[in-house]
Amino acid sequence: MSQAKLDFVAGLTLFCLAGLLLILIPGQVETTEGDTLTPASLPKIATTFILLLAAALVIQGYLHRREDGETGLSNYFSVYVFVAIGVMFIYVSLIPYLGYVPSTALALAALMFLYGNRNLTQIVLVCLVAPPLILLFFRYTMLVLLPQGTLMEPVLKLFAS
Amino acid sequence: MDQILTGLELILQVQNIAMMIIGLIVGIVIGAIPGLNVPLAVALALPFTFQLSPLAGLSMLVGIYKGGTYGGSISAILINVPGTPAAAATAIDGNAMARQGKAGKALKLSIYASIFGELVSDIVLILAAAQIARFALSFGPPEFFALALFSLTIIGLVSGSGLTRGAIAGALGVLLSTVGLDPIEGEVRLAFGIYELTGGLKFIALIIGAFAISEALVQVEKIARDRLIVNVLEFSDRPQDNQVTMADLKKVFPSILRGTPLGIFIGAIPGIGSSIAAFLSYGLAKKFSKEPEKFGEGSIEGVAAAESANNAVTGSTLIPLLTLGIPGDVITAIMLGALTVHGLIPGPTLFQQQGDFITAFFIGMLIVSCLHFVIAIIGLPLFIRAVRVPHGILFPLVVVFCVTGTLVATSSLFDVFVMLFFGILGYFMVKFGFQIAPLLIGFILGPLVEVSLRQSLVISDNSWMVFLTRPVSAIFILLTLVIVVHTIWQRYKEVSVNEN
Repeated sequence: MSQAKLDFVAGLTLFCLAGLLLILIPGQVETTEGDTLTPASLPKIATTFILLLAAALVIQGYLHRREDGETGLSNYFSVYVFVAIGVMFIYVSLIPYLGYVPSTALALAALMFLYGNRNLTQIVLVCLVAPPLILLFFRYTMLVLLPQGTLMEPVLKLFAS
Repeated sequence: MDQILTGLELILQVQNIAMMIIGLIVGIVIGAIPGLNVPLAVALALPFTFQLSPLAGLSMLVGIYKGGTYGGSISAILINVPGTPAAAATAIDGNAMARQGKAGKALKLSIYASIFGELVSDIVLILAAAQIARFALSFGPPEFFALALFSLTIIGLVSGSGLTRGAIAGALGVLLSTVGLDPIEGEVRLAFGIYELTGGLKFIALIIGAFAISEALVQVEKIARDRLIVNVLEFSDRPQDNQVTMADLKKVFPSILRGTPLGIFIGAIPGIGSSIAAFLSYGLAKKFSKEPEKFGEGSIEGVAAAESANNAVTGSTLIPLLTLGIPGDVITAIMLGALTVHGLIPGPTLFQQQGDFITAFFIGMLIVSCLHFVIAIIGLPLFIRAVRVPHGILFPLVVVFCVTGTLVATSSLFDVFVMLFFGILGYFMVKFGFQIAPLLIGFILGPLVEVSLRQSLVISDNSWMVFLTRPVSAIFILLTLVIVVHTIWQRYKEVSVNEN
């Protein structure tokens, strides 16, 4: 992606977000009258600053739109990144239900595959060994209990009895 | 003398020494692995420090910082991929030496130069910090506001992403710091009706997300695109290629002596960082060398100059943090978070109220440097193997540690989601050419900027002149203006030259 295009896209996105936030700020901060600076002042100043600088980026991008100079930054957005983000969100969402160990094992398997690991033995071994080790490490050295999971509670009770 | 003895008693505990060793080993290994960097390592270690005593936690973070800064040279020398940005200058001659079969000599030389730089930097920190803190005791809100503004400006400008992008990232950090309760009137701000946001965004979620998750996302993309193949150069069988002789040391000593003070000086200025120190030192060594033509072809002076300077930054970068409460770079910003969690507020009063802690911490810095030497020499054959660790195992584990660390530190799944959000934000920032460092520093300095600005206006009856009538504040405001105008002028000149 050319530097100009990058500036234009980044500037425009930030300009829209900052503009939207400036509209939203008065409804999000209760302001007190009388003082020079209120609780709303710094958010407003920072957002206005971003808005102006984003406008500068847009103008910069527009003025240099015919220049070819490559940025060296990749415009390649791999679908793997979005899948990885999805896996991370699903992983965290599953923790309260499945518990730490099963959800971590599942996440590890999916992520290892995404990071190009195709060695099944390695994947199985890491998934089986790493999550219980981390759980035990936190339980016995840091004295922190990681979630057991609401769905797993009956199974754990069965083992306990 | 009594204070030194008390400091020794405090620091010479088994837990502290163990944490120093663990920190050093983790730091060197992570520094040596291409794709992992020191801020990521420090960010991942941060939740563990919450369960430790302040001294043990900080000892571990310092160990990671020092070990990681040196560890970057291992992959720089062996595979020409700097493990950390600070080792980029080392790669030039270090890898050339490795290609000649002298990898062992280059690696050992980088240890000697790094430790020398580190030790001298620690001594300067110890000697200078108390004096600066004593001077800073007279600072009031206007001085702290001017100083924070100056630091934010420098970090935004020299972050490497350009004036506009650096300033945007810094302002975004300040904006994010305003989420939650207003520090003076207690009003809830920008919570958008979400109860969990009324307490503000958690520092740990920002750090881990922006530095570790974003890096994991960048790496998944790289792996999908290029399939990373690591070719480690083999070592020569000849003993002279794997040893540093007295003649070698004599030859490189002037470069180390020049690089060390340069690194110390650059480290003490907020925002510049170790990679710039290494390149400047490398350039200086080449300029003064009797054999400048050998630079780039495997010069031992080049390796020593770069390594002494980048590790000399590690001690002096703590000067602005400990004496003024201003983090000089990302790692010290994370350390500031660690100190704050333990109820220690960095700044001049820390020296008054926690004198024993500071003495123990300073002694600990020296011990870490000595242990660093021993561990680096003994563990070198093992650390070299770290370069070959498959990313297909490493990064999934990094993601798991990010989630677990945030969960343990905050006890809230909401904050884990916030951490993932910051990871995505960090990834897109990198993709669009923004640096993450100004965002973090803006987030850290935001409350200081706001509180000191509002307090200054209260004590001066809402007169903005308060910043210009007090000498220290006026100097920093003036310096900030000069730097901004100079940068804009430089940029204007560059554009004019390009257009002609």
